[in-house]
This record gives sequence, structure tokens and C-alpha cells, in this order.
Amino acid sequence: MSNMDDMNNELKKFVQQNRDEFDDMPLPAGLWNKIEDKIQPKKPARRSLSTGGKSLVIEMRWVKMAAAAVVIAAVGLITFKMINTNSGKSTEEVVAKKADQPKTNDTAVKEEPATAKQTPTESTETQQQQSTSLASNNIRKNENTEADDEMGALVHFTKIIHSKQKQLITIKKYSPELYEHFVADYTKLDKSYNDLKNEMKTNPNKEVLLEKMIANLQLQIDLLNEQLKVVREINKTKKDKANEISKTI
Amino acid sequence: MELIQTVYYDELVERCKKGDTSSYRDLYNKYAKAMYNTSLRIVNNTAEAEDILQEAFIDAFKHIGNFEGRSSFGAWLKRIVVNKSINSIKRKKINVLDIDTVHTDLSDDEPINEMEFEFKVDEVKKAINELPAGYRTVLSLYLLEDYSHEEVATTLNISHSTARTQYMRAKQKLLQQLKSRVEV
Repeated sequence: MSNMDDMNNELKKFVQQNRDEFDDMPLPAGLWNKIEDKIQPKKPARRSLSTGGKSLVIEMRWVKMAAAAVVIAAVGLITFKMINTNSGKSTEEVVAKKADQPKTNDTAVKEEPATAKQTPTESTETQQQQSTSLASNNIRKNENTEADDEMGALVHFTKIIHSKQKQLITIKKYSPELYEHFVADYTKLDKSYNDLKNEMKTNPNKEVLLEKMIANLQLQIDLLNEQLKVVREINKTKKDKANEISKTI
Repeated sequence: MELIQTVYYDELVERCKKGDTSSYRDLYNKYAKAMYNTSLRIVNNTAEAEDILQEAFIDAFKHIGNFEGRSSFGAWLKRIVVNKSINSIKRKKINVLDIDTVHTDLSDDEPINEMEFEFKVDEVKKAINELPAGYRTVLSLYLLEDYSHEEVATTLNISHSTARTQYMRAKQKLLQQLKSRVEV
């Protein structure tokens, strides 16, 4: 039998030579989609990537707003540093220097030195803003900080956010509509923060998540600062109008 | 005896292991058609072959982390497809060895010498499709999937010598069909 097998292997030779032609039946369409559907939810790597992308999209929506806030924070930081280093010189001098800087159409930038001069409550607010930007700057500098430091930063930022939220509640009285708007905006950011927090339970890459969480909190602070600025602007125009009216009378 | 164990390295497989989802698709595109045809030759039913292919790829992707490269990925995948296909026809109570009855029909005939044939792919393909399930499986595994008689025996859970004789009978049956085709 085996002898015959060895002798008569013409068929095997022929098949091997034309092997590809035997696989001529076309694949049924749409089969890959069925397979893809079944393998997707079972891959945690992919799932975390997609939610990460989602929160990033939400974050991106605030980038424009945050950018404006960062400019303000930077100006504030420079002022703060100058006050610290030139403690001998009067703060008025510093403010005057800043006022000398070319004025732009950006109301936010214009407003900054004005508020610093004005009421005492508002200046404490500015200082708070400055300390935030300082803290965030430190975080950015030491990118290799331990997780403990990052957890500390989270606590620190959360405290600032709470105090700013308290300040913001004051506008609820005379402009509930605006307040609702503010809260809605803030809630979006807070939601993406909570998504990140939940992901901590399953995602092994805690370092990256912590960094994202901190960045999210920084955005929250920036947003609250912007909102408080709007409130201040409204208050200011109200006062101005009142002044004008009193003048004309 | 091979003293050196070959380790197959497949870039696509490595990328899949790292969670690169597009590589899964690449692997599918690379192997799906051949695997579909392999399964189809055993089960002889397109819907069934499609289900088997789907299951096989999902299983392979799920366990790709365990794939150590002792064979090529293609050979590994083929084993999964073949096993699933054989289980499928067994479930349908098609005895892989029901061919003995067929065998009696041609046992007394003179063995056909394959040297006298000028094979044509289409004709051989048709003749394979017309074989009874048992013959078709044994013949396909040895001829087309490049299984050795030993591997056929292990896969079908039959003895080595049975695998060998089954193949010889299957081939005789095939040649008989080819011959009758020529004569007609």
C-alpha cells in the first residue's frame, strides 16, 4: 500500500502546484463586521481608549475658553511674581507698569488691572486666581511627581473649585438664567472628571489618568474664573449705569 | 529529529497582542478566504462554513495571547477551523468512517493509475465536492491542507493505518469519478 502511495503521488503534486486555485469560493460579505462586533467589547484596551477620546472631546470644547483664561492667569502670575520680588516697591507702581502695557480689544485683559485696583473683595479673588495658576505651574514643571503629590493637587484644586462655586451662587438671586447656564457648562466638565475617576478602577494606567484628572480640574477652575469674570463685568456695568443715571439727574 | 525548535514570529500577531485593533482586521483579510474554503471542503455548506469561520476567528483572537509561535499563525488558525468543521459534521451524525460501504463497491476494481491522468483544477475540484463527506474530509486534509497521515489520524481520532487506507480509498473514488467524466 505504502509503495503504491509513493509511486502514485501525481495527484498530490498536482494539487500542491495549483494550491491557490482550489481556494476559489468567495468570502461571504459582511462577515468581518460580525467578528468585529464580537471581539470589541472583550478588549479592555480598546474600551478605555474610546472613553478617553470621549472625555478629550468634551475637554476640547473648553480649550478656547481655557486659552483666554490661561492668558489672564499668566498676566496674574507675572504680577504676583513682581510683587513678591519687588516687595520694597509699592504695588501701585507695579499696577501702573501693567497699565502701560499696550491695550488690546480683549476685554478680559483690559479688565484685569482695573479689578486689581478696585474693591478689596475682588482683589482677594485675583490673588486666589494667582495662587491657582502658581500651583498648576508647579504641577506642570514636575511632571514626574509621585502619585501622592498628584493626589494632593487633586485635593487642593477641589477646595479652590468649591470656594469659587460658593462665590458664583451669589448671582443666582438676580440672574437665575445665567446661573443655570453656568452650572450646565460646569456639569459637563465635572461629568468627564467623574468618568475619569470611574476609569481609575479598571484602567491600569493610573499615572496618565491622574494627569488627565488634574488637567480637568484646572479647566474647571479656569471655567469658574471666566464665569466669575462675567459676573464682575455685569456688576460693573450695572454700577456704571447707576452712576450715569445719578450724574444726569 | 529536529533539535532546534523553530519559533514563528508574525508582526501582525505581535501587534494584535498589544491591542492594535486594525491588525485583527489585517489578519482576517490575510487568512479568511483560505480558511473559508478549507471549512467548506469539509462541511460542504456555505452557511455552516461561514458560522465556523466566524467562531474560529473569534476564538483565535480571544486566545491570541496564548499563541506562542510553535507553528505559523496560519497553521494554528487552520487547526482551529478544521477541528470546528469536523465537530460540525460529527454533530450532524455523519460518520467520518461511513465509507466502508462505498469501499466494497470498488474494492474489487483494478486500482486506477493516476499517472494516466492529465489533471485539471476544475475537474479535480468538482470530483472532490462529489465525494461522500468522510472521503472528502480525509482527502482534503491530506491533499490540500498538507496534513500528514499521522495528523489526519489524530484529528479524526482514528488509527494511523486507518487514516492511510481511508485516504487511498478516497483517492481511488476520486480517480474513478475523474475517469468516468473523461469517458462520458
